[in-house]
Amino acid sequence: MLCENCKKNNATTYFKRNINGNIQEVYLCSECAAKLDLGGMSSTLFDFFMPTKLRVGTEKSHKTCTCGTTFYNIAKTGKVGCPDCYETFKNEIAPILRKINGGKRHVGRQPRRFDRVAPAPRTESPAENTEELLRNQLAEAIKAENFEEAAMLRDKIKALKEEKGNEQQ
Amino acid sequence: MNSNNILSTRIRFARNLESTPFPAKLTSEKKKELLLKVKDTAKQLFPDLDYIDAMQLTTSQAGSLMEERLISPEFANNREGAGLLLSKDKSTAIMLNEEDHLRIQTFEKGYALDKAFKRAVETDEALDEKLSFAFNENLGYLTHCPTNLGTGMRASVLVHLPALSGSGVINKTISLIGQYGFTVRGLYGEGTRSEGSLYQISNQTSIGLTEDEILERLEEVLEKIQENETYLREKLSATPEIQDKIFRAYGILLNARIISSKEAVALLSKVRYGAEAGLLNLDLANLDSLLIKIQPYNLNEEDPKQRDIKRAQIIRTSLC
Ligand SMILES: [Zn+2]
Ligand SMILES: [Zn+2]
Repeated sequence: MLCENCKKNNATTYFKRNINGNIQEVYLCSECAAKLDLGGMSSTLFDFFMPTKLRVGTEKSHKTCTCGTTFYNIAKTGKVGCPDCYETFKNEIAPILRKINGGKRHVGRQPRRFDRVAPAPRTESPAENTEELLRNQLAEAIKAENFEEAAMLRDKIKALKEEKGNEQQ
Repeated sequence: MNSNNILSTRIRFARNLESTPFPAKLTSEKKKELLLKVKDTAKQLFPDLDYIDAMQLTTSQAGSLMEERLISPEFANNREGAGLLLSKDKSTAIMLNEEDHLRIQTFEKGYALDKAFKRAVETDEALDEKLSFAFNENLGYLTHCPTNLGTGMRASVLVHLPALSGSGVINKTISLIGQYGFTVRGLYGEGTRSEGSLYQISNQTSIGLTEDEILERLEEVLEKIQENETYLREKLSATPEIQDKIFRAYGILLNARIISSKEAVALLSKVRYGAEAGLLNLDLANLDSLLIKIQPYNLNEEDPKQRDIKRAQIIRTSLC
């Protein structure tokens, strides 16, 4: 993934800030991230993202996958060490996948040994999606400073609203 | 859809073995083990495949394979612990230990997405039975780079667009295609510039859609592009200016004694345009194989001056 500021280098770090429950994420290369730390940038993007509370995603995880990869390696290279990394760093990778492909699920072919399992449904069950439930979860997630979870919930609420909006038309 | 300006079709599946680190994380020893395992399995299933040890290839041999678009530039440049399984007719090429453990590729001449896809699926299914590819119900086929998750498929078509690229509309077209989830690249893929008005159009998104949906969308994108190309050609082909360019290009290729790769590709593009438009009676498949034969590595001539002479000679013989 490219750095969202210079759009030249690979993004190695993501920053988040929380404005009244609104999580904002920005993916930056190390150079731009360093500038952000110094607070010396004045481009519109940086003004916008100038953090009230900075969270560096790469520092949050101390896990190491069986292949020897840490999340820092993944964030730095944008590549994963082994197939199992996707499970090991499920939560850490989720925001990256949301950025790359909107967190979409696979709906295509499967190896034959998976044929027993029904293909992933395109939308979650309605019960899981009621807006009130999501809002409560969001409030809790923010309280616990679990920003990955919060960002995901916010996206879900937004998607739900859009869906409703479409139905009403 | 008129498709005589579509040179070739390719389907690529990125596949990896379960619980095995990706090539970037493997030692030389482990890479070798993996090569042996995959090679033996593949050759048993598909006796038609020849195995090529990438480390035994010279730079020139690797370059030739790249010019034939059978391997990626990345593979050609980083051959340590890599291998290639290539069918006799060169319509299937499986890169081993490139970015992923396997990159299954099937090729067809002209426009044949379904045919290439069908063969890729057959190869994939047979290999998966024996090798068990890494897969997750939510993320699909697990790949070294998260951008390939899902189907792990890249479907691409190499198309000749002289009218669009000459008109300047091409940049707008490229950005429109981008918004639709497809990318446009030059002849040799990522990061390469377009030469000879040749463009590779392929899907960027590999997750959230089925393989069939991706292929359908690619077809839609192509139809739109072809519509515009045809529209422009109808206006252009009849003009004396364009006809002049085509016949001059043909004249130069028939008579040149020294010619650079860049000039040859540019002129061949014009001649192909003439052949597609029915102005020149030339075999398109012959022009396409000529396009590969005149590339630097395929000429297999160290001295740059001699290479340009050899190139001119091959072109003259082939077009006569
Ligand atoms: Zn940057
Ligand atoms: Zn791992």
